Order: sequence, then C-alpha cells, then structure tokens
Amino acid sequence: MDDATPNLSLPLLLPAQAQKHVTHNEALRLLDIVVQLSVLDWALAAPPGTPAEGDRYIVGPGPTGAWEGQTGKVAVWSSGGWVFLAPAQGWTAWVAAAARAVTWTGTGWSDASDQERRFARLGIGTAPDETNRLALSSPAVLFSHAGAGMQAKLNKAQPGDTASLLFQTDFSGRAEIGLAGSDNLSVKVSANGSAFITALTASAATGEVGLPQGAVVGGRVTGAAVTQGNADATAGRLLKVGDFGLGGTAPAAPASITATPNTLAPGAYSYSTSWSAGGPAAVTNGTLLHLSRAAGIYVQYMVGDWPAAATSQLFLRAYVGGAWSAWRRCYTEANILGAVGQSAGVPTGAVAERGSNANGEYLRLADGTQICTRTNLAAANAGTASGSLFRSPASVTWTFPAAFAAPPVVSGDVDDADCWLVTAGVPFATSADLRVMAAVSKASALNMRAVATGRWF
Amino acid sequence: MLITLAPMRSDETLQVSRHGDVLVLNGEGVDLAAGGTSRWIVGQPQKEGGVWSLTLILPHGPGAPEETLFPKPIEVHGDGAVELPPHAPPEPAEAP
Repeated sequence: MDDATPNLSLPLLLPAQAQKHVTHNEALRLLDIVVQLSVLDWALAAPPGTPAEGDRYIVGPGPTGAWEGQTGKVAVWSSGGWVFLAPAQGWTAWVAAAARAVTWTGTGWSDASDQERRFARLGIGTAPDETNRLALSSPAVLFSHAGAGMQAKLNKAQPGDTASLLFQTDFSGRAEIGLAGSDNLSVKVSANGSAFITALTASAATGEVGLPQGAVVGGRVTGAAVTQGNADATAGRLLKVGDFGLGGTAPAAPASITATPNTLAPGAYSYSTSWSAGGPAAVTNGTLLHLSRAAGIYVQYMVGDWPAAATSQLFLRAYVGGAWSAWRRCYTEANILGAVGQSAGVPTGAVAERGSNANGEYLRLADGTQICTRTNLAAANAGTASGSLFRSPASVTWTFPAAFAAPPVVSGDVDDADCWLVTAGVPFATSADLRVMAAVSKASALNMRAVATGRWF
Repeated sequence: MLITLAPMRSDETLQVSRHGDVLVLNGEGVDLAAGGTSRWIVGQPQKEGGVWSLTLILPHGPGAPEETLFPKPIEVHGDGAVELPPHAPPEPAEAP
C-alpha cells in the first residue's frame, strides 16, 4: 500500500500508525494549499519581507534568498518558513496581482490569454449562427494596436468573390465598401437594401477612380488634373475659370505673341507694348484672342483699348505657311469716318474724312481720291470785254481747303444766268485761279461755286 | 507784318519765323523784299505803309480746332518764331 495519494501526494494513514493526527494534518495542510489555488503574485524573484501565515506565491524567474532554485514552484509561508510545492501539469492558479488565471503547462506557468483557442462560434452580447459565426452586440468595438499599428483584414478566396464591409439600417443594407465580386474597390449604396448603385470605383490595375453617378464637389479641385496656371496648355487637363482669359479678368500676358513656330496656346491674352510686341501699330494696350484651326494655322484678333484712336478697334491677322500676314483693321460705324492715312498706298486710317475750313469743304477718301468744294468764293464781276465775251477783270485765287498731291481738275459755276466759271490757267496743287466768263457784261459782283477733284497721294 | 492764314488739310506741318523782311518757312528763307516766294505763300506779298501783308497756307491735320480751321490774321511785330494755330488736337493723356 502506498503511503501517499498518487496525484497530490497527500500522506496516508498507515495501519496502527501512531501520531495519526500529524499525518492527517499534513494532508489537510497540503489540501489547504492546493485546493482553490490562489497566489498573491507570480513575478517576484525575492521572497516578500513580512509574509502572513498561509500566503501563497508562485516563485518568479531567477529567484534569490529563501526562494533560490525554486523557480515556478508554489511557495507557502507556513509556521515561519517557506514550503514549496512542485505543480503538476494542468494546475490553475489565480494570480491576485495580475488579476488573471495561469496554468502550469509542465514547463512553466502560462497565462490563459497567451494560449491559442479555437471556437466553432462565438457570440459576445448576442447569439452567433452558422453564417455569422462571430457575433457581437456592443456600443463600440475597439481594435487597438500591438506594437506600432494594426491592420484589419478581410480576405476572400478568388477574384470573383467578395470581401467587403456592409453597413445596414435595421439589418437592411445601405452601403457596401470593398471588393464586391472583383479585385476593384467599389463603394455601393442603396436606398432600400435591395437595389445597389455604384457610387465610386477604384481600379486595382491603374488606381483610376471612377464616379459612375457623378460628383458634387464642394471645394476646389487641385493637382495635376486641372490647369496649373492661366496659360497651362497641357492636354487633357480640366480648364479652370480664369485660365486662358475665360471667365476671369486677369488673362496671361505673354512676352511674345508672334513667335514662330507659334508657341502661344489658343485663348485670350492681355497685350501691351509695355511687355510685348508684334501687335497692330495703332494699339498700345489691347485684348488678344488667339485661335488655331490646325497645327501651324492660327488667327489673331486684337481689340484695342488704348490709345483713344485704337479704342474698340478690331484688328486681325492670320498665320499660314509659316508667316504672319500684316495686321488688318476692321471697319465699323465707329471708324469708317475719321482721319484717313496711308503708308506706301496702304490705308492706315479711316475710309473717308470730311472737313471744312475757311477755304471750303473737303472729302478725302482712303483710295487717294480727294474732292474739294467751295460755295462762296469771293465775288467777281464780269465786265471786262474779252473778244465777243466778257470776263472778270482779275482772276480770283481759290486756295483749296485740302492739299492735293498734284493739280486737280477744277470746275464750277456762277450764281447768275448767261455766265460760267473757268480757270485762268493750269491749277496748282494747293490753289487755282478762277474767273467768270459771261455772254453779256455783268457789272455786279457774282458768287462762284467751285469743285476740285484729284488725289491727295 | 500782317499774315493772313489759308487753312488747308495736309499731313505736312509748317514752322514760321521772321527776321526783318525774311520769312523762314520750314527752314527755307524767303526774302520778301527781293520778291522771293514759296509754295506756302498764296498770291503776292504786298508792302503798304512799310508793313508787309501776305497770305500763308496753314496746314492742319484731321480734327483740328476751330481756331485752326477758321483762323484770324496774325500781326507780327518783332523778329523770331511766329506762333501758328495748332496742327492737330492735343495728344491724350497717359495710358490707363
């Protein structure tokens, strides 16, 4: 017969044993230690200074003093000394200092939380089922980091399967974010839980984001997708308001509007001789509209605002065959009349210019034609006999109200019957000598009307 | 000296100064006493009572002021530059 129990090694009474109470109390004392095992701490290396009778500890690693060499054993303060019990596999002890249970694995004490556990189903606050094998009902869920960070992973088997987060209202789906039936990310929403529409996609292959239902953007759109400045002509970029002079009041002010091959992007530009050149000679400041029909073929429109003579005047030119044409002025009711001018025969001013001064009226045309008239040329009589006719005693000089480039053709009339006006010789470029001829003697002064037609250049 | 002005639309301009009997028209001297003439002088200058009287063409540009288009005769008493009515309206101010 053994003298101790096989598991806890409790001493057994022997037949006819003397001092039975000693053996019995020893067994009870061991039971008192081991049953409902609860220790104060399990991490101490040195024995506590003033233990109470019956205080239990699990000896920590690297023990010293009275615990030396007793690592992992259960130490009990009993009758002024430490008693050590070697644990057996499966012993579980409550550690008061750590507020958790630990189990002897045969080689060491193991925290239950360190152990791998598997559950077929787990419900926290609610019941799991065959589909929702992990079920949780809680005001909030915390997934915190171990180390620096934390990743929550939703894995699927095949590209055609689904790994997603589904948001529900009263267990009816309203939004789904994830890989829904493909490897592309999608965000789907539903108003009723049955019909889902895709609001956003992101291609796994390219990263390109799609917004199949449209987008309402409350803030500014920036980055390389939009134009970077008021003259950014990068193909494919979204045009911002104000760029290329569209919708804004500060268009680009290019230093050159004439570069060949032309580097100016089609658009509206600010032009001034202060920072650029190549505009119409008449324009100091103006707005330039530059358009392109095809590569290498451009047209430009310039509307001047300064100086006053160029204000609201439209000029245009074209770039074809590698060269700009000259600037051409467009004629409107505002500039068809005014000062005419020319350079080498090409008009530089208005179409027609009319004016009057003390010498009469003149009409000067852009093609070079000039007509001068005078309706009140100084009176002259016709009382001097000239052959069988009568004429003025002296010729009257008409200084033309506008200069001709060469002697004009001069003719006229006299404000009376039976008389007419003639020149007294070849006219000059700036004047003509005129006299009255009459069939009968005209003693009183007569008013002469004259016209001179010629060219001013 | 009494100068009557005959206004005439022209892109040319005229500078006049007087030195005794000599008129300098755009740098070209014309001695009236010697019977000199010029394309700027209309008709024949006359001297009456020791005072020269003549008509000068007054060139002016488009939009010239009234004082140029219908000028008054000018009396010239001393030597030096003769101030004529302006050729054209004054230039506008600085660009905005």
